[in-house]
Amino acid sequence: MSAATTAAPPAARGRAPGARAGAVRLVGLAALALYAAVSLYPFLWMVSGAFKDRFEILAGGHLIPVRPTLDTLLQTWSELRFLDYFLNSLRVTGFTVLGVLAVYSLASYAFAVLDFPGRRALFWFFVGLLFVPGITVLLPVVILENRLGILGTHLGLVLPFVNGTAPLTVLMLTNAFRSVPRELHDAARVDGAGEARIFWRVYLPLSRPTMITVAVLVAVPTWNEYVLTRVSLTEESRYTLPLALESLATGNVPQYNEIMAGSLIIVVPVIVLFLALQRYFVSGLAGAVKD
Amino acid sequence: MEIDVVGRAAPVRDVLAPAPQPAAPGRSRWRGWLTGYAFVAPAVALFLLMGLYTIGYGVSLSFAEWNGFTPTWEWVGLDNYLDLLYRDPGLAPGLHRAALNTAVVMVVVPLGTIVLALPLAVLLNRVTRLRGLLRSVFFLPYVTSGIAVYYAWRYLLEPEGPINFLLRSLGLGGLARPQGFLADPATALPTLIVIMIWSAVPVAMLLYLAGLQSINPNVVEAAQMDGASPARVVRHIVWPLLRPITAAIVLLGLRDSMQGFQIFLVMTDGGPAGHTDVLGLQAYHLAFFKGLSSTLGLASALGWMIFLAALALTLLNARTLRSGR
Amino acid sequence: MTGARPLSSHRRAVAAVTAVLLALVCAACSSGGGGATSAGGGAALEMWTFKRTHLDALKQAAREFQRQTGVAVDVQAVTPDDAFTAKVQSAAQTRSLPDVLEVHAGGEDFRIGGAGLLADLAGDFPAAALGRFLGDTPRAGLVTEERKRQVKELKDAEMGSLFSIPFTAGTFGIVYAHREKLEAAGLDPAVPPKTWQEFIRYLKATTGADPRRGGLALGLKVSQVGFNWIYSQLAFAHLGKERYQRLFARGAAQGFASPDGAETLALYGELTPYWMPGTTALGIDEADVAFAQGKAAFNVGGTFTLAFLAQNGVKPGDLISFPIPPPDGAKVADLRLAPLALTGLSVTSTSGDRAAAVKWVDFLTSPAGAGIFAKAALDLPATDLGADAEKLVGADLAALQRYFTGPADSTFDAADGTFRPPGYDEAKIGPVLLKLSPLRETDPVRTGAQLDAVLGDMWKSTS
Repeated sequence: MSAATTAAPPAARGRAPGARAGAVRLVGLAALALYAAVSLYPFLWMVSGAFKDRFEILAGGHLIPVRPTLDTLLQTWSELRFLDYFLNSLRVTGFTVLGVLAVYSLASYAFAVLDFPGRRALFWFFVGLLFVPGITVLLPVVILENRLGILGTHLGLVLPFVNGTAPLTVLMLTNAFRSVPRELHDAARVDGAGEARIFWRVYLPLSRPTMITVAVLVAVPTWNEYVLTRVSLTEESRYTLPLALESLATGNVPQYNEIMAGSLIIVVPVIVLFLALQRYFVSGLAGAVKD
Repeated sequence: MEIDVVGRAAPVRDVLAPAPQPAAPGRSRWRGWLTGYAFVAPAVALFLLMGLYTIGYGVSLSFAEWNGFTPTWEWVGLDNYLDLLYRDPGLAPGLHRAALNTAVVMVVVPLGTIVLALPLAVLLNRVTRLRGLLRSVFFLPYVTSGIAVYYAWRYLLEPEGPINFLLRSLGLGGLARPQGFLADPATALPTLIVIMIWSAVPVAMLLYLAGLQSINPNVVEAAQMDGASPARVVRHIVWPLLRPITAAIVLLGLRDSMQGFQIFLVMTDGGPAGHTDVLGLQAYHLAFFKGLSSTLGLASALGWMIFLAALALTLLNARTLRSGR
Repeated sequence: MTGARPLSSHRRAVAAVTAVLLALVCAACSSGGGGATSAGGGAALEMWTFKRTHLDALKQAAREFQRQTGVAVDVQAVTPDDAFTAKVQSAAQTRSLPDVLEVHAGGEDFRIGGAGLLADLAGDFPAAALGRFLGDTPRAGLVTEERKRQVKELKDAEMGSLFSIPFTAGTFGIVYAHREKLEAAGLDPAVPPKTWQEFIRYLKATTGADPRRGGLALGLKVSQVGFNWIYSQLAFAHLGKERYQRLFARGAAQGFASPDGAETLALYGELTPYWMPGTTALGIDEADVAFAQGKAAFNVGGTFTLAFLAQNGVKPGDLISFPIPPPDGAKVADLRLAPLALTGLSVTSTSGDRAAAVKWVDFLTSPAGAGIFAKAALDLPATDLGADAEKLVGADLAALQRYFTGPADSTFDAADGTFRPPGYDEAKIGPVLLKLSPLRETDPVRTGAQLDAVLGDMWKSTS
């Protein structure tokens, strides 16, 4: 990917030579290292807490556990049913991401490539939804879902989540599809391909980094979503991880080592996902920036 | 749900500028239109199912008084809006205070994000060897942001927590807060702002990094050979590329600070004594924490006022950044 | 970038993705229907409670009820409070409320009942049947002239309607302390402080012995608890009933800015140096847990706090408890705290089987049902358990009941709101007091003036 291999731009070259440049470089590196530490800091304590037992966590102070133990994590995972919650979260997030990609890649293709009356108005309408504050539709969503009989189900989370991501997703995907050279489309038309085929064969493959970027940008907040989930899910067996963490933290005998273990279980999958998709993600974002 | 589910990237630009299709005559044109409608149908259907009813319901509720139980709403016209803005002495002062806090968050968070993210991106752009690793590390705050990391922060910020401990052991005991950072009115809001910036920096930095990398080195070199000062290079070559990115960061920062309240709900719930109350949280409290009294219309009205303010600010933001061209 | 891939691999990919999508969608649908089905067929009653700590005890009682009557009850806990609110509201819209609700007494019951969604239980529980309850608690769900003035949702409700039956009872303003920490500070746990000044002295001693872990814990993130659990009792004792009530009166002459108000606020302010560090950032439960973990020497709560502390690993025997002590020279030197109904049971008007629902409520509040509940939940039922109390809830909790009874003039009744403005909102009072202590942002006189202003607004906004 270009992002990883581009050499340092010339702005860095050809400046004051020798010792001063070295010092500048060193200061720069130090600043980067410092911010890396700041980025990691809470996360380090999360890991540290998760490996402490309930007595050590109360003592506080030191980062490296004196008596590191796996028990806290194992207990949180098995006895506190975090496996179930994990699967629930996976399901909600998975459906949401799939739904978003399916529904809005189609719509964005129409906005970017096809022509029909009302296209522009519809596009700006979807983008304008960005500013509708979630809080104003929170209660109506709950009431509507109760009417539809899906309140408190995972489907009842997925539908509003998908709907809620419309603005940014449409914006990004329309942008990406627009940057596909028009000639490819026209050539495919001449070869007799229908729009569905062109969409699937030409536009989707060429926009893969953007699709993946959208997936990550949708997955992270959905994985962590807490407000609608909190007011709509009531059955414990359907809880997602954030809710499980909340109920762990406000339930009986909450200890910070268990809370940290629960937190760790929540953040590790997202980190793994990000590291795995990072390559595409970065170039997808870069694509969104290029003019 | 609109709350925080949408990501934070993607600069706005006029993606629809030229009409894409040459007008085809007759039947095939109709067919083309139909195809277009077929492609947007799922999105529109979903909106009709989840969006139309809820938004319509929310708007009408903002003109009514209701506690969620009575069979009928009591229509009160603009009363909810006026009561919130100035009329009800029991509501307006609290709201003004929350609006002030929100305004502070709204200005400081995007500003702080840019002030940190841009230099980091520039530095990162010059490093060649560890760039991949550093980029991953820098990105952690974004991927982990949410209730899990908020709990970690709460632990760090406790009176006997690691941050006070760190300050004391560095001989900076004077900076330590014996009450903890969240219980202390002087530090509660600044602390939350720092955490919000901390989680917003990664995406902003990555966007800037991508922008910097898209600058053609030859253009810069040519300009320098022509004797352009570094300041001129920045002003005429670098900044024009970074401006749309900055606009996007400001826009999304504004939106997050106006509407997002998850972090406030989890970390302080507006406390101590209202020092971290923000508009989104107020609306949430009006909707769900009033012992079932009839404040749902007020909550909705507040939500729509936030909507209007966000919209106005965005248009203003877009305009200023465009006219700066 | 990936260019065009071989056709066959594409087709396979399409098929795979389609299959996965279909499978996922089906799975989502199948999870959709589940909902809240009742156990044991159509005859089952449904009940929601907002207290998770009550769930297991209610389920135990439900099993016994089913054994006796054959009627199954499906009990669900809906927490936290905002989720309970949302769920009840949405269920009210779709007429899918459960048969029985456990609600905050004297508030939620009126708001739901005022909308016609709760059954009037006055006929089912005549005066004779209400004799089983402690003190004044059975009046908690009763629609009176006074209540109609206070709660505007009741304007169409019929006088004398009974929208809830008291279920759990208790009182606020109980101080708990670790014996061990008292001893470490050279204090005698056998002699709890008798006056406010002595209490402050005790606090001074414990924080002196252990500055970081010797203070007073209280969940001030819920800002009104300072006012409701400490200040009110303190001011009531210091001023006596009449002058205490006058603090709230319309017109500021006798208000909080008066010498009476300033004096009592100054007494409250004496707590300032002794709060547990960071206590304003903690919720009620979190503060209790911190106390249980030994991060504070004292903790203020209610009768219900003991059970929670016990669940968190504190042995009741290791604690002492006493009500908020009256100051030197107080009008009320022997403060009593009237039990109030904390939660109530309501039958919804949409219940499919009203008779069975009433029977279940009757069972839960009968000595037998309440006994099962009390023993399992370690919470005080509103039903007077009489001599059995000690056996069922344990000696320590039963002992707290001795503060319940006394002459009316020296009994602080938190349920009595007659002297306060209609639409009284304690969430607006709390932060003002918080700024006095522990935040130290203002002084007693200015705090009094601010309280008067807040109350004045409440009087105004409904006049």
